[in-house]
Amino acid sequence: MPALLAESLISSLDVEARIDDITKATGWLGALAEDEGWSQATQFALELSLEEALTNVVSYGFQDSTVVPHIRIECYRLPEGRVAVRLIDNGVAFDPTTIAEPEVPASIEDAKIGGHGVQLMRNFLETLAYAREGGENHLTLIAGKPD
Amino acid sequence: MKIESQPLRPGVVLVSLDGRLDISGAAQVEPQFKAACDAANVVLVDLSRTPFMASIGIRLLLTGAKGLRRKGGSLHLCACDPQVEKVLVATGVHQLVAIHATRDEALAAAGSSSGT
Repeated sequence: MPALLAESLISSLDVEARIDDITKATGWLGALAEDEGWSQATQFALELSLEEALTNVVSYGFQDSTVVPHIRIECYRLPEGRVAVRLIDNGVAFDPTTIAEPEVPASIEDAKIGGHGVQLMRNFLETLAYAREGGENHLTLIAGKPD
Repeated sequence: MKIESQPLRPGVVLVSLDGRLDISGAAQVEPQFKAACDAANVVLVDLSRTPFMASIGIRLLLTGAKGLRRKGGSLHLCACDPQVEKVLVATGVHQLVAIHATRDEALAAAGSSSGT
């Protein structure tokens, strides 16, 4: 995974651990996409992945935790038109890259209703990387691989 | 996000979704979408005005499709944005729910599967 250098930071946003702030975060990213002129595919991949990752953090990250939630989102410009979004939170350790792919159900009766978030991130991103550092989850989402 | 339900004939309803089917959009349309699936046997969902769909949208569609299947009905999707279609394919929804290129194709398919 490429290093995320301070000088390539485009913008950052702090959000609270509540559902309404998920839409606030994807809206912020959408505005950056317009300013930076990302392709539609890059914008879609990052908005989708941020929504899925942040939904997990807000829904489960602080469920059994007594810490004051700190959630920060950083967006970096990478070489060759790629873009990285890093989601940092101090919730319980959770590494989505270890989640197994759901099985493809044989019929609609057997289909699981949920559990598609990580599957979508894997499909739409070039890189999905996780690290636990200093009591924080660091999840990095990279998209925008040139055609 | 907005939702509009239009009865086409007894048991068949066309549902148009307008806006982003994300966590807040899904919450806005869920009650009416569920009501449409409860009341009808065949539901056509027009996605031509849905530029974004997250896993919460997959959840909404699969819940509706399951309920319809239990009573012998079906859910049909049509006119998807290419990125939204990629979401449906990535999650395997395309193997469980019929996806039609246009509203007319969905109408034709619904006509032959309305169970009457």
